[in-house]
Amino acid sequence: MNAATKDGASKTITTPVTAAKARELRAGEVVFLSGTVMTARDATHEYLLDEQRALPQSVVAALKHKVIFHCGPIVKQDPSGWVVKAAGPTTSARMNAVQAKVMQKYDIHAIIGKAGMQNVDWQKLDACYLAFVGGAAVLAKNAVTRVVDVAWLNELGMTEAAWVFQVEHFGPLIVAQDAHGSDLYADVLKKAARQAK
Amino acid sequence: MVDLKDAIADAMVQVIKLAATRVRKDVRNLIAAAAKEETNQLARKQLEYLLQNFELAAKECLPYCQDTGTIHVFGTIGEQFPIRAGIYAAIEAGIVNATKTIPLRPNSVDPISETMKYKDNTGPGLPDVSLRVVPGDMLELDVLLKGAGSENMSKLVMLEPIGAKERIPGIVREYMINAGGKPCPPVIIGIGIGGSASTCMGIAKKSLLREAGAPHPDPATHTLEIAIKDAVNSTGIGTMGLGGAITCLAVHVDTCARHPASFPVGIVVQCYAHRHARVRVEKDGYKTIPEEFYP
Repeated sequence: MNAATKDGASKTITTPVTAAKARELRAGEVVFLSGTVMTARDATHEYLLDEQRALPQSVVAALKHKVIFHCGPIVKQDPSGWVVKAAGPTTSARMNAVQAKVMQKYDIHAIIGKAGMQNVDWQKLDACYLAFVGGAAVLAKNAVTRVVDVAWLNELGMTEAAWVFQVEHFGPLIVAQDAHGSDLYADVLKKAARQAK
Repeated sequence: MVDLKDAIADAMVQVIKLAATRVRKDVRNLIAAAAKEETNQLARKQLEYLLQNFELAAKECLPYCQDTGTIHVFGTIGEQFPIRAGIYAAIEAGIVNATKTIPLRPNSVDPISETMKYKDNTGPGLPDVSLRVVPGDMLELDVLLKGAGSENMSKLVMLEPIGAKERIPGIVREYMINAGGKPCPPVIIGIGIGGSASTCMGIAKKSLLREAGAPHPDPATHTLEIAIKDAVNSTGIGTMGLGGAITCLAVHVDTCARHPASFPVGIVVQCYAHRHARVRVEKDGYKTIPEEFYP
């Protein structure tokens, strides 16, 4: 099935998500993504910033698609290869301190996760934050059409390894923090703080 | 005669599978009601996706959230239950088997070496098991798979007793604003009041095992539950922190006696994905799932 026609009203974007593509997305929009994404959580971000560590070829190739997915999936090895069983997003804020460095180093322009990030200058990075609804792991795994590769599985284990997924019509993804300075999470918090007074 | 240790291990697999793959009925009802009531479009849409995800997971018999959490077991063992030896080992064996067969995500990391040397959701201190001896002849196990997004929002506050009770709704409100979307709202909040630092955190977590939203039997305590729930829902944090009228599905308060000089308040946040199920093992090894949560 053609992904773009599955939900006529929504925009489908394809990887690589370049700076230009990221700039086109506006906070509040709902989009779907097709292409290649790489999962990375806390330990993976540390690996990506470790100057002493050589990057596996699979990671180099995956990062060219310019999307990082904050996710620790459940994956099972079948005779046919790796099969994803559940793949919802993890809390992105844990990567707040290192996210910009990783994005600059590898020219990443889209982050998929949940609950948003702080102290990441999306405007300066020409990048956007795409929120997938937290915990909706079966919806997410249904968009994964193939496990392309995995890196650092022995070192980091299933949760933290860098999984490379081919995805089709992955979403709905809510553009929550955009390259123009809009931030839906910050808006909600501002309103909550005002009400308290 | 059934080997009771095998029956316990099987019961653990059964109950973990139920908790991980099927949402509790009362929780689902609250989320469905929230999806109807919610006026914020983005929130309503996300709540509908959650309901859709529950259905897909049940149909495919897969965990509806990939973070299958750390495993807590709150159990009671009847004084007349035939065995004592080997119960912990049977619980662990069930978890090892469940991790492989369901499958669960292996979630135990050694905090010092930072290696994943425990591949099956067991390890020092895991699972977190407490067993109380009670009258009767059954073993009853409540299994809670606690995800990290919500568990990371746990909080202990040691208040000064003067005016403490009145401050609680405001404190929880502020705290949930700081948490934002991180604990995957709409959440269920367990509040433990009194006891020591550790007891109030313990009763806060245990309060999550109640039917979601069922009032505390003491009217004054229930009044406090309502005040906290209203305070949290006044934040407008909404589903996943993207705004909305419903941030909290239920608040459960539990109390125990406190020292005159101490007023501990434990806050344990549970994501909407409340993975909890209960199983009973009878003295002949017969297993039942009470219908309360999974009719």
